[in-house]
Amino acid sequence: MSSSYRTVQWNAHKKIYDLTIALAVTGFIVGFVILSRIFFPSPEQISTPILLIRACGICAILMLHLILIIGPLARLTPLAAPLLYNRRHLGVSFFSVALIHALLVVGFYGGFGVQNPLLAVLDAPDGSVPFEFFGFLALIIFGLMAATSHDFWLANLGHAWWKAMHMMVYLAYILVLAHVLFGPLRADSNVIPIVLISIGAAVVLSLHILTGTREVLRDFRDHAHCAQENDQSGWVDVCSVDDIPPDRAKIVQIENHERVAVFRHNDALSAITNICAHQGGPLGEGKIIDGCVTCPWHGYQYKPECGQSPPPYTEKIATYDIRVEGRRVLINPSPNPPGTHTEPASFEPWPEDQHD
Amino acid sequence: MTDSQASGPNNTNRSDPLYVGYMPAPDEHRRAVKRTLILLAAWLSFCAFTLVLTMPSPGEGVWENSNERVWEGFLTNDPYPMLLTPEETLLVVSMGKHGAHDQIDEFANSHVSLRGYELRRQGRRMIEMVPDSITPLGEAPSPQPTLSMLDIEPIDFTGEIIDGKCYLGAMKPGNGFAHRACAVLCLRGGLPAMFAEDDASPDEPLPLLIVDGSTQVPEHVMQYIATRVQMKARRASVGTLPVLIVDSSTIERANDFFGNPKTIVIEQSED
Repeated sequence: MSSSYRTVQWNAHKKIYDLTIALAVTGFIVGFVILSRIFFPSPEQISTPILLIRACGICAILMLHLILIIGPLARLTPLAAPLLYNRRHLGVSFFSVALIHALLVVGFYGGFGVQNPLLAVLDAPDGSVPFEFFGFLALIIFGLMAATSHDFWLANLGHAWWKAMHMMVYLAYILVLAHVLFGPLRADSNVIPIVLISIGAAVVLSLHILTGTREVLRDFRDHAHCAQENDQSGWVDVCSVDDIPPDRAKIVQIENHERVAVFRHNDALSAITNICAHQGGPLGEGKIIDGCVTCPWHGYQYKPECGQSPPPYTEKIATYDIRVEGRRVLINPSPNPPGTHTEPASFEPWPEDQHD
Repeated sequence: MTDSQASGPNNTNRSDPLYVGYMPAPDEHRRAVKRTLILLAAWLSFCAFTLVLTMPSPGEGVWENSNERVWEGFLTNDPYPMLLTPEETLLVVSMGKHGAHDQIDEFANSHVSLRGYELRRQGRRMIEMVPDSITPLGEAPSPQPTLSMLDIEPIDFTGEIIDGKCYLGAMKPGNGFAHRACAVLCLRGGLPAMFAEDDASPDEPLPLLIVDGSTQVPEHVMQYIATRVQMKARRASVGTLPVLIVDSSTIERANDFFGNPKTIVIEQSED
C-alpha cells in the first residue's frame, strides 16, 4: 500500500524475512558442498561446478515447494500470515537460485564446445526426452513472474491479468517435476530423491485440495442459507449481528455475486467486497485496526463505511448497502461503485458486548 | 502502508491478534514463526544430509590439469588420435570439448614429443594436449598401429556410452543422464566415445568405441548417450588400447524410466 512506487518498502519484518532467506540459502548451499567434500574425499571428489549445480537445483526445488505451501497454509491458519506477507521476496530469491543453477548448467555442460552453450544444452538428440527444455520453460515462467512481481506491474496490468499470469506457477511447477523426474532422477538407482520430491508434491497437492474443498463447502453453505432467506425486495438476509465478532467480519457468498465481508465496528455494521484491491486478499479474514479494515495479506487498509484507503493512499473497493432488522443483517447484493459512502447500520449491542 | 503508520496501538488485542507486516507482530505469530523456522532448518539439514549421503560416487577419475607433462611416442590419427609409447597407448584430445584430429594431422604417423595434462581412470590414460605443443623428433623406430580383432562374432555388452574425457576425470561425475548434454557436446566435438560396461572391474581398461566404422559417433546414436544400453560388439585392440566395434543397429536402451527392459529400433539415417 503506497502513495508512490518504491523498489521495496522496507520495514523491520521484511528485513528479517530477507535476511532469513539469504542465510538459509547460503547455509544450504555451503553446507551441501562441505558435506559432499567430507563424504566424497579425493580421488572420488565431485567437481565443484557440478556440486554447485546440484546444490542450487535442490535448494531451488525446496524453495519452490515452500512457496507453493505458504498460500494454502495461510488460508488454513492465520498463524502462517508472516510467511505470506513477504512471499514475493521469497519468489524472487527462488528465481535467483534457479537462475544460478541454469547458468552453471549452460556454462559447464554447454560450454567449451562446438555449439552455442545454450543451444548445446537445449538441443536434445532426436528421440530422447528434452528434460533440459522443461527446465528452461519453467525458468522463463519464473523469470516473468519475478520481473512482474512488483506492485507497479500489479497496478498497471490489473489484478485479474496479474493474478492469471502468476497462476502459471503451477504449470511451471509441473515442468520442474518433469525436468527432475525425466532428467537427473531418470533410471537413478537412488530412490531417496524420488521419495523426497514425491513427499513435496503430495504436501503441495493435499494442502491445495484441502483448502479448495473448505472454500467450496463454505460457499455451498452460504448459498444454501441465502437462497432460503432472500426476500422479495432483493435485499438478502445474510446473518445475525451476533454472528460477527467485534472488529471482525463475516464473509457471505450470495448466489451469482462475489463474496461480501460484513464488518462490525463500534456497534455498527458495514459491508464491503471481500476482495482487496491489492492482490485480491480476503478482507473478511482481516480486522479493523485504527478504524480501518486491514487486509490479512499485506495490511492494505480501507474505511469500512466508504471503501477508501485513508489519505494519502488512493485505493478504493466496492461497498454494499446494509441494514439491520431486529438482529438480522440484510444487504443489497448489488455493489456500489468503489469508494461510495454507505451509512453503517447501527444495532443495539447485548449488555455483555458493551465493551465493544 | 508507510512505516510511520506502523505504530499499531490497536493491534495488540491479545485475544484476537492479526498479523500485519508493518506493525509489531503478535506473540502467537512470533512463536509460530520460530517453530516454523526450526522445522524448516531441520528439514533442510535432513534433505542435505540424505541427498549427499545417497549420491553415487563419481569414480576415481583424475585430471591433472595443473601438472603439465611431456610425452614422447609415435603419433597416429587412426582410428583415433593416439600416442603409442613403448609402454602403452594413450588417447590424445584437445583442450575443451574438442578432438585433436586437426592438430595432429600434420604430424600423424611420426615420432614426436608433446606436452599436455594427464587424465586417468580404470587403468586408461589420456592426454589433454597443449595447443601447438607437438615437436617432431625425426627418425625413430615406429610401431605401426594395427587393429587386431579378438572376436569373430559379436557378443553382448551392457553399459553406458560415455565421452572419454569427462569420464576419465574432466567432469566428476562424467556419466549419467544429468550429464547428457555435456556428453553429446563432447562427442559432437570429436572426443572419443568409450564404453563403461556394467559390473566392469575397476582395473579393467575402458575400451574405445568404433560405431559403424568410425570413432565419430553418428547423430542417430546420440539419443542413447548417457543411458544404459545393450549392444552387440566385437572386441579388438590397438596397441594396449582395447576397442569395441559395434554396429549401431544393435544398440538398444537397456531400461526405461521405471527400470524395465525396453527395446527401441534404431532408424538408420540417410547420411
